[in-house]
Amino acid sequence: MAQVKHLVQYLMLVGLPFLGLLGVLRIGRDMTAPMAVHGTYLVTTTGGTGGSCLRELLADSSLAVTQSGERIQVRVGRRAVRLDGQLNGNRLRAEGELPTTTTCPSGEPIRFEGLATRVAGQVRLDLQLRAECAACGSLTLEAFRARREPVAGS
Amino acid sequence: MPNTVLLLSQIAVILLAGQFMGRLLGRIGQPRVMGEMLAGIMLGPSLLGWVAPSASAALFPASSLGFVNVLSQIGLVFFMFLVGLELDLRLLRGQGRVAVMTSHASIIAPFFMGSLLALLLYPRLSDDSVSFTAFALFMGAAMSVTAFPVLARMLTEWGITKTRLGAVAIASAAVDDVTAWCILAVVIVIARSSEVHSSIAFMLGGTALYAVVMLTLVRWALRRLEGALRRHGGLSQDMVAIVVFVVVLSAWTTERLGVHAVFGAFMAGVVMPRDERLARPLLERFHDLMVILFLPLFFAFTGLRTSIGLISGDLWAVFVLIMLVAVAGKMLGSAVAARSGGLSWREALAIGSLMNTRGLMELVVLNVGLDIGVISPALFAMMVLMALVTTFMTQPVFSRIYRGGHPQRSAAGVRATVAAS
Repeated sequence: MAQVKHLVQYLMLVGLPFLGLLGVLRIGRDMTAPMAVHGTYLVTTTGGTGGSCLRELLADSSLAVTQSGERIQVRVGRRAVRLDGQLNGNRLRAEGELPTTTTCPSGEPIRFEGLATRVAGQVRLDLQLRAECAACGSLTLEAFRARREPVAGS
Repeated sequence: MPNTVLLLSQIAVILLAGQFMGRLLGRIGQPRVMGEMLAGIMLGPSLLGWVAPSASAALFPASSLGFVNVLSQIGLVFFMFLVGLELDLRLLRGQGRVAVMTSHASIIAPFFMGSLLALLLYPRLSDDSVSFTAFALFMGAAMSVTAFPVLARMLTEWGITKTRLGAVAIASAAVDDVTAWCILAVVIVIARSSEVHSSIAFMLGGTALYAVVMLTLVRWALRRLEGALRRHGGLSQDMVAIVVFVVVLSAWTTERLGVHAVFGAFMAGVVMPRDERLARPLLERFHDLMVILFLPLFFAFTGLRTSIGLISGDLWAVFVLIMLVAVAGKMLGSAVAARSGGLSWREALAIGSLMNTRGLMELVVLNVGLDIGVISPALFAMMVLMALVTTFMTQPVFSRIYRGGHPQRSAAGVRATVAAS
């Protein structure tokens, strides 16, 4: 009788949670998470207007994206300027303050356009970039995942 | 090339901070390891990087962290070897149904609750480069970890290893450890199979073959060391060199298989002969260097990766939920199982409070998760905080529950022995 009691207890305390675990794995199988954009990208210039401060900061530099779900943190350029932002679908928007040492002509807003590329495993990720700063105060970076394609030859 | 002056400065600061915090926390009855873990967090972006960003950037520039990482990884490999060496599954013998039920329930209850939590966290804190299965299994494994070495040391210091409570707790923690590592290995295989261009079958097959070779051939070969021990009358330098070689080779193999070097190191410890003339001197030779130098480096590296600033707004509510799941799953799961096995509620809850100790084993698991990209930086920060809080609460909670039945052991006595550990 005691054996049966222990068996029942074991099934309740171990067997049931195990079945629950299997159920969770089954339920979660079709769940989706935000698009992955994290990683380090290489930036190349494709266009833009205005002075040289954003080019100085962004052109031929790197862009490090840290991601926790839809929350994004971007470190831009050699000075690792930190921008915080959000991911909505395949669009990313991050904002931050430019370092006070950045010099650029006063007046009109300055725009930078570029392409950030990252190779992760067998997949190449492209981010279309558009950055704007007003009087070198704050920087807004917008990007969207343009392409996700296999690396040539793989 | 490493900047030697910078690297030595980093090591000096890390050791000083670890020693200071270890002593400080020791004064309030916490284990030294708790203070060292806190010191690591304080040196990272959560405190130093926040209050003195220029000092932080000068002392820990991003380009130099690779060298701290390498040193901490070497330390971690040998620490995991010691964990494997200390693990003795013979402890389970004679503990009967209570130990079996407690150990199994203390794994599956937090594992299930962790996976349930994953349903909520996956869309919020993960991304589509990680499958839900890998994420949920990792959360389960991370929730079910118990810091076996810390627990064993606490019980020894308190002098309760021979009591029923101590024996059940230590046997359950030993089973937890082995199970959690096995599950984590599977999670890594699932998560990494696409990243390292290997098929799951190759990685699982390779890992299974490796485990069989270690448990049969390598174990048999290592038994020959016992004969050499008898002939030399003790542990010679040549024998230590052989042991180090086995550890490194085993860690290299699992890293190459795509699992993780820590598994190979742990396995090397498990297959070592349990001869007291070998195990004890090995532990003594490695222990001090590990505790004084390498573990603080690992804590500092963990702290440098932990940014508590990433936890903001509603993520604090998520953190509270993680804490509830961690404590309820581990503590109550173990306690209910121990109670069902015939222990009193007081003993059962005391076991639950001990099993809730996650300590640095949790940090090892979390670092592996962050390395392979299964968890995001914000979730990593929350889980590191959870590891710190559950480790911190062990001593006061256990002391409160246990004191009632053992009036001869004062709270101060318990605190003093914990501090010494």
